[in-house]
Amino acid sequence: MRIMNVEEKVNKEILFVLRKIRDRELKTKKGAVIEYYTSNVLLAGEGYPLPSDEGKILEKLEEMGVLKIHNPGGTSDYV
Amino acid sequence: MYNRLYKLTLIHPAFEELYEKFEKSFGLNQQEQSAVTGGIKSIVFPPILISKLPNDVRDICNEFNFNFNNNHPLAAMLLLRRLLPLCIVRKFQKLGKENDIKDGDDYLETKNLLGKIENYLKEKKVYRELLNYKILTDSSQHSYTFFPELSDVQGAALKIRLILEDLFV
Repeated sequence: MRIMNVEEKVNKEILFVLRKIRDRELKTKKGAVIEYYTSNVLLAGEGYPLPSDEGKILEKLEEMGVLKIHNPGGTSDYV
Repeated sequence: MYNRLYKLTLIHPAFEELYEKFEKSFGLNQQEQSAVTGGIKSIVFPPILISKLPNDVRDICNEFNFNFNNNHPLAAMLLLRRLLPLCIVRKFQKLGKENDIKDGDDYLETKNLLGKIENYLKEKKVYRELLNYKILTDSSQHSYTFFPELSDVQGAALKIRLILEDLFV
């Protein structure tokens, strides 16, 4: 079995998040804020980020200038 | 574990450009996507082979790839055990010679099915090697002391892959 190197693994995880954002965007009214929920289950396999890493990837994407996070750190469902 | 909600606004066209770039560089192509289960890339049974297999054989190969990729050797080995007789039965059905592999209403046992398929294989060497691996796949089901490793599974799967390529490609 081929093991991905760190860069490949992270790039796959970023793609996972980008796809999820795209999915949310298509289901959101034009001009409205996009609501992105991190996963609440651990998904198996390389290329799936840990739920805690999804937030970090979003911050990285903000740093790259492709999105803006209105509530840095996210909001807990239980707050 | 709990969800966190992030509220986002996308910056256009930067988001689209990055999304396209990542899809192109790290996403699966159409052929690979047809051979995945749950987004996991296939390893042992390649997409081109899978596309040429009967539907139920194809499903098992996809499920095998998923289990193999996720380091579930026992599940993968048990799938191989199911795959072997099924692919032989489907081949005889395709040839219109189903009666050759039946004893009354029932199909022959795997060992006898293997004997029947030998004459239809272009590579006889593959048949001989496969007999050795049958012990391995059978032990996965019947032995209380044997637990296969991923390397055992890969060895057996590659032999079965050769049989599939010989029969269906």
